[in-house]
Amino acid sequence: MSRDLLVIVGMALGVYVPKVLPLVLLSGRLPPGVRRWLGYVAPAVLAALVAPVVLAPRHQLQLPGWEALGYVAAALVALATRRMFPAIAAGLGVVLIAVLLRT
Amino acid sequence: MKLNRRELLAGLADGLPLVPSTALLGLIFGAGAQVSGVSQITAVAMSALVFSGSGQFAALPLWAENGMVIALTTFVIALRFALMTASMAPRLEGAPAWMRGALAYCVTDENFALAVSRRGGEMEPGYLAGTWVALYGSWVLGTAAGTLFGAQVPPVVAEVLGSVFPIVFITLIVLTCTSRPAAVVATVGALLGVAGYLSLPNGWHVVVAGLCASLMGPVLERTFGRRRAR
Repeated sequence: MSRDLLVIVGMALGVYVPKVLPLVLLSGRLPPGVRRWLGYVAPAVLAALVAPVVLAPRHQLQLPGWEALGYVAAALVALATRRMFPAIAAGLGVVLIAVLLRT
Repeated sequence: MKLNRRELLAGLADGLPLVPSTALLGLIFGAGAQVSGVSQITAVAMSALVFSGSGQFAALPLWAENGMVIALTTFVIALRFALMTASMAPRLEGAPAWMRGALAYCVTDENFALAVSRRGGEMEPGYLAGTWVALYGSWVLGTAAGTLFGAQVPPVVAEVLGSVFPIVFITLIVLTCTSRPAAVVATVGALLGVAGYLSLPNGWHVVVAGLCASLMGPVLERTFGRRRAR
């Protein structure tokens, strides 16, 4: 439990520090180079996070299974609507149908 | 400077349409946390303190790893918020430091988008606080409901929940890839992520690959820009 609490506090600080620094200490003055770089952090980190889960679960490269159809559906709906919730709903819906059809 | 009650109510009203989807996302997170071995109370405490969908979903597959790595991963994912709060700073210059500190906590992808799309992108402290109340309440309560229901999900639902994580993040990647350099950066990040996962100590691949790939962004921007100029 205390380990969990420590990790949560660490995560909370991890989220809060990038939010609060520009607002309280830097009063919005980010160098233009940093500003440009920050714009690319989210896609880079999110891709580095999700790719191993999809392509190399359990530390071994392998082709994704049928649930990849749900990933494709989520990506397509996200591209079309530019909104988070419909994309996630579509992805989960496709995976649910795939699971139900298989059983 | 005090919170304007009319702005607070306006924020609350604009935040209400986001309540069902935020609560449902919280529910999915709570249930997914159960499947990933995060205890009920930990999942709810996480939503109440961390209050970040992307950061929290990212912690699930790493939960068994070193806590430092989890916190660092959350930090790197949250770096994008610096761009948002930096753009808010000039409009909040009159606010006292404690209020700016509190408003920084309230900022999310959702209410930042709402505030920016208002008349002239005006950052009203009361408005942001109002949207936060709607988002925070539904996120935390949704998580609590998810942990209750996640303990006894039928096997079919558990299997679907197993793919929640990739689905949420693939969606976020598509939404953040707003330019060609960003799409290249995401592709490189994915390749480095897999390579790092197979070679680096547990959990570090996200931070290392993410930082390396993102540093390519400004360079690519120049290359793409030049090509277009010709």
